Amino acid sequence: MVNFVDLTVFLAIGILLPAAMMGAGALLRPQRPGKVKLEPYECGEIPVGDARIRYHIRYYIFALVFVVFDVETVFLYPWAVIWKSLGLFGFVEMMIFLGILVIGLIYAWKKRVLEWI
Amino acid sequence: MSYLPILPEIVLTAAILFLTLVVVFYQGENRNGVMMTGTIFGLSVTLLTLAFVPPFAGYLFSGMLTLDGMAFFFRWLFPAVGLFVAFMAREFLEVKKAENPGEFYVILLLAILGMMLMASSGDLITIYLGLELTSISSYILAGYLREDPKSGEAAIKYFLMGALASGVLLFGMSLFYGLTGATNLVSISGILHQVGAPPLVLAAMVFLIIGLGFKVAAVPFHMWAPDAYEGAPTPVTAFFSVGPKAAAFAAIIRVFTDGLSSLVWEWSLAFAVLALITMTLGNLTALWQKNVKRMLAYSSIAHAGYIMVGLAAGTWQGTVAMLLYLLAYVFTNLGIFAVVTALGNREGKDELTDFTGLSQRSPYLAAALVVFFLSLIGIPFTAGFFGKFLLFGAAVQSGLVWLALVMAVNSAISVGYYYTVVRNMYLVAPKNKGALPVAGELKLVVTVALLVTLILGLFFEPVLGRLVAFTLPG
Repeated sequence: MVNFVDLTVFLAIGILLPAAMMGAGALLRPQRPGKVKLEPYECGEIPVGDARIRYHIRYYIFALVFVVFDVETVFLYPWAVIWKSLGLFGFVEMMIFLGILVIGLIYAWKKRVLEWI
Repeated sequence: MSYLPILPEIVLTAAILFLTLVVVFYQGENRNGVMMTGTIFGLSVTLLTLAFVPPFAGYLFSGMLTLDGMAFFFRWLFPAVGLFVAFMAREFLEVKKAENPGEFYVILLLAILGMMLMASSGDLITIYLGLELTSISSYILAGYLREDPKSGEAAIKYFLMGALASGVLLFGMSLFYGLTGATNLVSISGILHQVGAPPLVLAAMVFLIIGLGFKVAAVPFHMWAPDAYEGAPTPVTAFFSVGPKAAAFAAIIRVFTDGLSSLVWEWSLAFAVLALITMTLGNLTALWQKNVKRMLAYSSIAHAGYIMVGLAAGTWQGTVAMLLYLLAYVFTNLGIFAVVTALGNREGKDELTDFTGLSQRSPYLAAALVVFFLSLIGIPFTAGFFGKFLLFGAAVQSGLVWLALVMAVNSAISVGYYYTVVRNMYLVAPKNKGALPVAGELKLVVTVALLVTLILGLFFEPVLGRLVAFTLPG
């Protein structure tokens, strides 16, 4: 069983600190509400249209393929850092892992997922 | 570190990867048949490897996998289930004009790999990994007929309920990790023996029961099952009613008898209550169904209730009884669904009225179906009888005479809805006349299931002896 006192202190600080900061700000700053201040922030551009539009379903497949490579990188990076100490075993293991992913890529490629119709 | 004990899983993985490539590179007309052959070959090699790999008992990969008798039992059972389903799928996919018949087999194999992983896991992480591999493959299989709205409905309901169940299960697992600082079932068991049963541990245990209860479709958590079973393609329904269910029971046995052995009094009580309501409600609701797949869905819910009696007993006799019951139930149910598939491929609706006059249209299938139903009811000299007998004995030994009696009453209730089908087959004039054309591989599946049901019923002692030797404590 872990001692939960530290955790409770952290939780209390985590709630109190932002509350104190925002409360202090509300007390100190001048109050000048305006329409411009309520607009969503889009890097200085004036917002156009609704945010709830329909995306093309193809983005979903691209996102899915992207996630595969993303996860691959997550595994490759720590592997590369300790590559020398892992030796041949680690190398072969990673090559098998990459091989499985490559088969997935070949499948997606042949299914013409990577083409925009 | 040795990879030899998990060679069957490696072989299966290699088969999956190879078949993935076959799907995209082989574009011939008969790819459905080619993929079925490839799948059957892959599964057969997996089973052969399992038979010839030197026996190994113990922990692998720092406790991630537990290879013991129970793991061996399930690792043998699941590829066999895959063989049956692959045989049942070919004609079905052809009749229903499925768009991509090839991927069906690959996803089926992935589900089987997940199930094998689940049954041999020794860690909460591997249990979850296997569970998700099985579940995600199952969602895809449920919605495999893209043009059929019912199939889509089945997939979306199964997916939403399954995702909820996974969330609840993960929450329970994270609580156990937070409380014990371990995910390994052996370590958790050791720590729990020291701390006893504080309220938070019990809360975490309830989360695990709910999460896994969803996966076996125990009653308060069964709402998804009838819709998913009815809408899914018939071979997939056959697979759901035996595969993921048996795998979830394997996970339950792992978590509760391996990990939470010190809380046996608490969880056996919970499973006794679940078993009671699951079998009663499943059987009573099955009486009112018009669709055979829906009826079998409720029947399989009721059978999950019977199997949970073994957990309620909380002894190793209970576990042995569960395994033998699962063995009998799996092959009997696969046989029933093979008959339903054969009929559905011609009639297309899966209504109970489709069975009218089946004894004239296909005497063999009708007779086989009667034997399967007798086995599910638990009539002597069929496989189901010995399963029920052992469950009964385990319950009585643990002092749960009331639960054993409820089980007997429920078996009697179940005669009601099985009899409806039998009456339609033998006593009602056929709606459509003429012999029913049945594909060769479906006949093979029915015959093998029939043989297993009868042989297990007549000569169950060697099987029981091996199961006892497998699961004997210590």
